[in-house]
Amino acid sequence: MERQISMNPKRDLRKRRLNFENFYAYLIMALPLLIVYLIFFFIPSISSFFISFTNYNGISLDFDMVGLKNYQTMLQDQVFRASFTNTFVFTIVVSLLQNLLSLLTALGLNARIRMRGAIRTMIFAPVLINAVVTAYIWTYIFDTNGLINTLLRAVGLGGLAQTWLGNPDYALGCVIVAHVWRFIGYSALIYLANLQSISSDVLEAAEIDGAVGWKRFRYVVFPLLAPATTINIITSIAGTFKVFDIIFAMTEGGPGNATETIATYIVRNMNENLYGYAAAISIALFFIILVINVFVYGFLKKRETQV
Amino acid sequence: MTLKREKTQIVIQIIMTLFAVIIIYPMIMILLMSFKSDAEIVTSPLTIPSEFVFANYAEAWDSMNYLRVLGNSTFLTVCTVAIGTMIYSMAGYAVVRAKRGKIFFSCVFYMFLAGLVIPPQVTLVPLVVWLKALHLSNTFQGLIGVMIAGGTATGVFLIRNFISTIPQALEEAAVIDGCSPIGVFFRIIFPLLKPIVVTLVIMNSINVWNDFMHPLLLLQGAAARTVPLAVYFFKGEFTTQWNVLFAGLTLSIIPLLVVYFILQRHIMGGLMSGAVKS
Repeated sequence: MERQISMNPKRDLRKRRLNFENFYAYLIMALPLLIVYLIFFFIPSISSFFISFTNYNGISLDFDMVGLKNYQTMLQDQVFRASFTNTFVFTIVVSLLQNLLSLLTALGLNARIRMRGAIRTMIFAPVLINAVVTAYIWTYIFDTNGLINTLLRAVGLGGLAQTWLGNPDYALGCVIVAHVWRFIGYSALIYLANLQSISSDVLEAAEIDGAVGWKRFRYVVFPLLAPATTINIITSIAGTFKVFDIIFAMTEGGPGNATETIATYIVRNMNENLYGYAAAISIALFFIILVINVFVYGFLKKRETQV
Repeated sequence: MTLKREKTQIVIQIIMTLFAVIIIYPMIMILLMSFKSDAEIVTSPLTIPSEFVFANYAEAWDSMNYLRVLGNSTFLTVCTVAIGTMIYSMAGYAVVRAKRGKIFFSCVFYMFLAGLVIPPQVTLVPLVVWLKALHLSNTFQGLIGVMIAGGTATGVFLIRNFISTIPQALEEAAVIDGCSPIGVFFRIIFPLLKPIVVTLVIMNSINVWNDFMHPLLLLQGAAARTVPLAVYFFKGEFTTQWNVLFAGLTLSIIPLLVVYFILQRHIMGGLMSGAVKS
């Protein structure tokens, strides 16, 4: 790799033409990733736009341009509407619940407690478990003869027992619980890191000024946690809006369309060979994510600087 | 005052301990249930098994084709992470330090960053078609390419930010000694990237190992199943036999949990700095 010819590098850098030392060498270094990225991500993304205007079925290459028909279908499609609503509900509830619980967890872990290391290890462990395993563990917990119903019967509340995942009113809630279980540790870790970076001087000063307990948290600690809050909300929104695996493994979008999300609906249409329509939905998903990201990120950044 | 503090301390201790137990309990539950006999799992599913039935594990091992599946996941993860980390670093270096054509390299960089807002689902439909055209459908090469491309945005972003904190004087000294940019990268910069490379390796390994959607749609055929995929199809076979299913789940999470318990400081630290920096 090393160039044998020794030349005067200073004089070389002053030259305006593109030579190996100042352009092509860097191009060669960027090239492997550039090629992989173009082939496996960027060109597919662009062609998704194109496919969304066709009636391509994934099998034969004689497809027709259908213009905006897929997008028109989408606007009238009841299942798409349901998946849209479910995705929103899922994202909002998960983001709030996960952040609230992980913030409390981080505050607890930051207190002077015993066995802190062991407790942290236990709370963080589910982060490593894949979504399919998480889905099956919780499928059992919510099963007709599963953990929740067994416990309910044991305390004499057998009347409340039911097939949780089979009930359209509860199915989405069940998936939310499973998803939040998996990621509490992750968000808590980020809050904890931020908490530990708050200097004790600030806290002592607050105490002298009379800010203790809830007041100290609300007016001193919580504002200082703004960076962690931004990270956690952005990651949980980004992660949940395209949620696929846990829902697909736990309910496959059912019962009915009670847990169908935009991402599971894309795969469902692919499995039914409606590739053009699936592409159109994925493009819609992209624009929704883009708008939400810009909006939420702008809001949270503004909030950070106000503090 | 101190008495009140002590009381609060005890309450927090109790709540946190309980909470940790509740979080970890589902994992202990599947472990205990995986050792139960077919009869006991129906009559008393939640107690400690009266006798430990290892046959569940034998059955799960065989019908998941465990070693094969583990090998597939390991191969996929190692190739993706090793190649990916290397080429993210090279590209990250190029976009920061290129001396000419800065506009070109910053366009390349922003194109890489587009991956942050484009959800992976957008690429799915074309990928199925595209991989077929490249004769890469249902191959590991194709999936490795897809996974590397999918991690580009985060990878390049983290590397670029790290490299821009390294003073250029180091590299200039090397250039004066007659080193080419490629030589500078491999001899001087890459060894300095260790902290961020560790973070990237941890983040990507967990992502790739646990990914379900891409293998499900792009890697068909029983011989090529990865761990999450094997678990998914395993459920179909043992819908009602929770004990065998849970033996399978336990087998599938053991490798990662063992690594976690050995390297937990690095894993927590790596995931945390990855999240904070990106």
